[in-house]
Amino acid sequence: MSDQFLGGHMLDMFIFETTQLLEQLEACILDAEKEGVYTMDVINEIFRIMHTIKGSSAMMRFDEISSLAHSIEDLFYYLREENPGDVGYSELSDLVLAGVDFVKSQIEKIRSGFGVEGDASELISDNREFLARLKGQNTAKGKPGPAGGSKAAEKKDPYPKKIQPP
Amino acid sequence: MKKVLIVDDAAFMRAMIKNLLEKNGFEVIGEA
Repeated sequence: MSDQFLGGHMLDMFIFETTQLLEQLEACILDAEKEGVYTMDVINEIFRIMHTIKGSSAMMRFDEISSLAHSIEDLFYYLREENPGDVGYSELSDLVLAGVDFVKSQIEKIRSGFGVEGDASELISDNREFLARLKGQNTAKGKPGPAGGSKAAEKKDPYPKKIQPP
Repeated sequence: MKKVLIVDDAAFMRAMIKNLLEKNGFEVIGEA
C-alpha cells in the first residue's frame, strides 16, 4: 500500500471518523458519570468504539493509539463478560478520559503534519493495572478467578457475533 | 472478475478494504 494513499484520502477519513468516535465516547462517559454507574449499553458502546479505533489506527500504523485503544478495549471486554460488582467508576472514567485526551492530541499532531507519535506506554500500564486489580477483587470475592473464570473468558471468542472467515 | 460486497460499521475500514480488494483484482459492487 502506498504511503501516498495512506497520507491522503484515507488519512482524512481516519481523522474524521476517529474524531466522531471520540465525541460519542465522551458523551457515553458523561452519561455514565451522571448515572453514577456504567450500564451494559455504555460498556458495549465504549467497547465497540475502542475496537474500531484500535483497528483503524493500526491500519494507519499509529501503533501507540492502537495499543492504547486495545488496553481500554480489554478493560471493557472484562466488564462486559464478568460484570464485576464494585468497580471504581470515577477512576475508570479518569482512565478512559486520559485515553481520549491522548488520542485527541495525536489527531491534532497528525492534522497539523507533525507526525511524531507520542508515548502511550504509561497510560497503557495504568489501564492494565486497573484491570489486574479488578480481576484480583473478583477472585477475592469467591467468584471464578484467574484460574477458572479468566481462562474460560480467554478461550471464548471476543467477537462471537462477527462473521468468521471460511 | 470476482464480485464482492463489503459490510462493516466503520466507513474508514470499508474504504481501506475496498481499496485493497480492487488493487487485487476484485470488483466491489457495494459497501454498507
